[in-house]
Amino acid sequence: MTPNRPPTALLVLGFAAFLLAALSIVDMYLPRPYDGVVLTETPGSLRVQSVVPDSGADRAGIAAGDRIVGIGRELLRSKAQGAEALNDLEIGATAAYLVRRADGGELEEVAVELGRRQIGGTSYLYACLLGFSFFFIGLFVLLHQPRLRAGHVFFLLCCLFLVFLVCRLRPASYSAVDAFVLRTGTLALVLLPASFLHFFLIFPRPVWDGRLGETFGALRNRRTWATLLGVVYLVPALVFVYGVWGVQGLGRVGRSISGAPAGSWWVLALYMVVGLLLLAANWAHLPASRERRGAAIVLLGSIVGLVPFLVLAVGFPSFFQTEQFIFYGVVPLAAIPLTFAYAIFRFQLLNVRVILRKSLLYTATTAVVTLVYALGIASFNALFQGTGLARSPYFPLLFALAIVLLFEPLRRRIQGPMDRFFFAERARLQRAMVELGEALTGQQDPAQLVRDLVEVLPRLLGLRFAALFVAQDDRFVRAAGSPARPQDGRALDRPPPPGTAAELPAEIVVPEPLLEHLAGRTLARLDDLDLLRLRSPAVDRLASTLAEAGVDAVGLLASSRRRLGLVLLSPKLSQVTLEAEELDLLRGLLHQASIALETGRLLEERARRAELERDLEIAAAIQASLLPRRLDLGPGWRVAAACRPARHVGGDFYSILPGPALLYGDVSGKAVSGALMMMAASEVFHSLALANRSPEDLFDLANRRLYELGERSFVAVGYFSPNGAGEGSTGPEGHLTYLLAGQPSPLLRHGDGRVDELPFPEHRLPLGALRTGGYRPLAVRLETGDLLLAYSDGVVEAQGPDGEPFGQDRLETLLAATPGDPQSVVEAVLAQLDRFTHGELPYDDVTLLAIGRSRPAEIHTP
Amino acid sequence: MTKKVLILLALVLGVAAGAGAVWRASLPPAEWTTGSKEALAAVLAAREAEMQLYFEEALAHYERALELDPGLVFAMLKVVQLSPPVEGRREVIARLVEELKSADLGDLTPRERMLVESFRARLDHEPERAAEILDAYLREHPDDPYAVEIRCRRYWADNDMGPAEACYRRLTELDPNWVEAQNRIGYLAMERGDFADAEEQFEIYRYLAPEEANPHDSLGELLMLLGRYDEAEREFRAALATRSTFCPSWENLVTLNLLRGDPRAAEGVVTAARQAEGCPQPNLALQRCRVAAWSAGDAGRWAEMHQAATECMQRTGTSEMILLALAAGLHVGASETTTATVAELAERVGTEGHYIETGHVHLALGMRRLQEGDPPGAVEHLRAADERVPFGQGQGVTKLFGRLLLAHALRQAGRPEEAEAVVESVRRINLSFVRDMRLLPKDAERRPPG
Repeated sequence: MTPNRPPTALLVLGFAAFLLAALSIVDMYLPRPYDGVVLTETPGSLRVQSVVPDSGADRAGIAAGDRIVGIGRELLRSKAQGAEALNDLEIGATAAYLVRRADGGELEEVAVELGRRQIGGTSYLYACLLGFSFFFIGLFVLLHQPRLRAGHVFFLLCCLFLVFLVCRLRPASYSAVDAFVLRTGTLALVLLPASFLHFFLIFPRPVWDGRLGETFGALRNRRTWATLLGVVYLVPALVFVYGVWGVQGLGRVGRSISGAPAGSWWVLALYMVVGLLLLAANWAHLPASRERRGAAIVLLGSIVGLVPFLVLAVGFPSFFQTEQFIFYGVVPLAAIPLTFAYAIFRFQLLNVRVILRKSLLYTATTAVVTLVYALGIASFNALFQGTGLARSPYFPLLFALAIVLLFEPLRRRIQGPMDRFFFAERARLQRAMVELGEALTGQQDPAQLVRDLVEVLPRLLGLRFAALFVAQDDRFVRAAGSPARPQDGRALDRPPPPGTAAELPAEIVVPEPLLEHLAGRTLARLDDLDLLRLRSPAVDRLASTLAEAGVDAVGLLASSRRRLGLVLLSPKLSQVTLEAEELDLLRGLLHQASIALETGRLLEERARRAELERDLEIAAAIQASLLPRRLDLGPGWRVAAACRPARHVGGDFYSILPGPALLYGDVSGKAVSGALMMMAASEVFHSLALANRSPEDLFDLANRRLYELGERSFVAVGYFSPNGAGEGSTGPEGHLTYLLAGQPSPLLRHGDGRVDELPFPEHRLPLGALRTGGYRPLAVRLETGDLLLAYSDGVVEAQGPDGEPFGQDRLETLLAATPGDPQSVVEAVLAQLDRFTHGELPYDDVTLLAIGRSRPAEIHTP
Repeated sequence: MTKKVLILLALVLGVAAGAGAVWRASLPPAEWTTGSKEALAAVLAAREAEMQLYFEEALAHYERALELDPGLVFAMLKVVQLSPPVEGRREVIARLVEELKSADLGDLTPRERMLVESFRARLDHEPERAAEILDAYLREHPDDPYAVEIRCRRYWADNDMGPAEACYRRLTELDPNWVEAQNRIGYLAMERGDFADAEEQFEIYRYLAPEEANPHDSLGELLMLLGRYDEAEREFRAALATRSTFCPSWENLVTLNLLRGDPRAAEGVVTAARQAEGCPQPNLALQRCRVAAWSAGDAGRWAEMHQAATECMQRTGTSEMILLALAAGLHVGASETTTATVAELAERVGTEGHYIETGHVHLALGMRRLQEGDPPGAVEHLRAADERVPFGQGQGVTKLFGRLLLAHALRQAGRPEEAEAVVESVRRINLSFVRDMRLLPKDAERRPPG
């Protein structure tokens, strides 16, 4: 595992660069006599490059281009001798300088008053500030992105800028420290172009990555890449060596700029131009808008910073032989660190997050406003000093009032732009996430919600992809999101190793520890699962698989009732990882999505149920339509029947068979299955009854047919027929043949109010229970005024609110107490059942069949 | 634990010993062998004075060093070299020579050994051996500025000016502040006719040693040669302000005023020199003679000039007076005295060799030929004189005078173009000199440049 800290060598290099620069500045403050002469770096030459304004040399008339021949009555052959000569003198002393003038080359002796060494003019101070700005931005990036290769090179580049600006541009005097610092600065000048180009080869994305890969694809090969880097770093070194020693060895005079070979400056210029072009090309091909904006800022800053530098610090000295504009070329370089800092802050460039507290920002704003007021007061005082207005006692009062009235509005007014400037990206993201959350909440279509998540999230956060897996039993099945990792989903600063798996699995079994972990957090980055991976090998395997497939974070969609799905998020298209604030926003979003998903599912189920209800209602109507409207057993018989299903459709039925015969039944199962079975049984009886008038044959055949259905559904059936047991036979008057298969024994109320149970046949198992039948009919005689009440078990099993069953006794009592015809009895029983159950749906289907003996015209239907 | 401490201690001691060895090695070796710090200080003071060309002071310091350490061989050598051969000092010199002959060289530094051995060689009239000793020493110590300077002086004395200049430049590389080298390089530049370089060298010399008189004097001498009389006067006066007893500057001031055609001012300078005790009496007498002869000639009183110059010639015996007498003789005819003196001079000095004295002899002989009506013969001698008389070393005016005389001889010999070229060469150096010189016959007068 790669250590989460910067490379030691890089830190040592940075420390050395910082130390060198800092000590170089400290050295300039040491109490040593100083003349203010800034010498060129040409070895052996004491040519004046510039003179610090108002220094002793400046006052003595020494000017750029002059050569220092002697100091303190000693001739100088080298800067070291100059340092020795100065060290022999004291601060405040006046030293005789022998100077060869630039114009005419005449020797002139001048008196130079030696002062303390100064850090130099404003220009050098500016260069120092600029150098340290570079350094600290580079260090900031390195510490925040210790493993990012581009961060390493950026830090190296910043260190080189520091050394270049602080050491190379140092107003060098005679001392060995000056010489050392300058040489180090020159070394920085040699390395600077290479590291500059190196950086822009991999920033903001490696040139072989993404769409530029078509052009620079060869660089994915490590050997090719290493060779290119070698050449990039070697060329400036060779040019420098040729410029310094090679030219001398060939006896030619090499042109130099600011003491360094002009060739080195031109290499710097060339590399910078190439670097800028690479940055521009890279920028144009960046897929993530945020990254593109950040890169655009840097590109702009680099152009603003480098073009004047190239023109004034390289072009002018080369073509017009003047170095007096170099400083003006250095000034715009500030645009580079400034734009980098801005891009880092605003767009998390180089994947660096900056958390700036608003309170701190507001404090700074307040300080700025206060400063503005202070300056305003000071200016006003200065302006009206000595006038009556300034002396007026109302003057401070007016100012106090002005402050009271204007301070807070001004502060608020400034605060707005500050917020927009510093937090715009964050606010934009928050707003977008909130909008997405609202959209998700309002989304009632789970499929669309899934699409929203996998499509909108990558666009919103600049992810390479997102995928959603939906919970099915104990696993999660991919529901949306590309199965293949996108082509540009490689490591950012190096080519991917060959044979890298790039497939998202079709389904995932998520180990329980991970689910529990996610249940508490909703979302977790794979990098944050290290501890869990150590504890659970299953989690480790899954995390490895997901990481291999380019997944960066895993989120769980769950409601309080169930786990709904899994969201897999890739890293960003840019080099920016998901930041904590984004993860928090995502958690909120996933939470909202979970609610929306759960709601969607519930709505779906409800819709399904409503549909079912509708179907059931239709079925009930159909079922009701199947019940005969007329029950006619012939003259002298009065029949009434009622069938009340426990649900929309039921398993009870009654029917009239050819014969005629009354059939009532109760199938095992209720609702749809019961209804279907009921219909099947009814159909069986009807079809069989057409050819078989004998009830025992009818029952045996129906039993076999129902048994063969194989669903182990039983049908309890009762059969009444005024005919005889044989086909076409007619029984004695008032007699009923009956068969019972699984039905309760019907009750017979005699004319005197007595109620008896009809005896059970010998074989009375429900139809379909056994293959073999063996049903034998019985007969019963009904006198005029007698009433036979057949019922399904749903009648006696109907429960009251306290769970008490209606019971046969209560039915018998009711039957005994209810005189009248069959219809009245059926209605009375139903009414009593309603009262008993307080109007609740019955536990089971209820079927009542009442048969009375009367004159032949009295027949009722329910 | 103990073992570690011991190792650490050994390490510290080792480092300390190494540092001590390095420090010891970095110390400059003792230059002069003496056990007396005071004697050494006196030697160093003497060296300083010698570098400033204050030879009397230097001699006094060396003698003081010898008092403090009678065995200090370097001081012995210097006292022998610097002591004027006057009565009262011969015995001291003889004693020191004897001591040097018998001195034990075992404890001396290599440089001191070289100095003594070469001194002994010269005593034995073996200059080649002396040169070999120096060469051997320089092979061992090529960067010893002291030895390098000896070699430079030898080149100089041999009139080997090319190697001399290279040698002195090498000396300035070894020690940029070896001021005498700057002085010599300036004169050598004058010899090359590179007066701009000479001026720069003298300016550097003056920068290095502004408190000394000679840098000002050398620069003033150059400026006077170039006809920049006002600047030259400032330098001479600066030299005298530094050291009022610096006689060359008094003498140069006299010459300067004579060149300006202001004998009265020249006489005033002589008076001032006398009052300031700026020059020895013989020098003052010579200056008076110069003023007298030059002013008479400048006024066209050739007989008076001849008389004054002849008298001074007889009194001082200097070549300059001989030349002045001869110059007057070009107008009034040769005198027997002058002829005899020239013959005597030619016999004494000879005409071979590249020395100033031989140059003067040729100059004198050239004028004699002119007096004898032998212009072609004169031209030969005067060309020989021009080759030998340098621009520097106080001979610049003489050299310019000789060139104008050469031009006169060339005209007399019917070679006016050559004469004009010679005059032009002088004009380019010092226009005023050509314009104002009245000591020569009319036909040698020059056309204005144009």
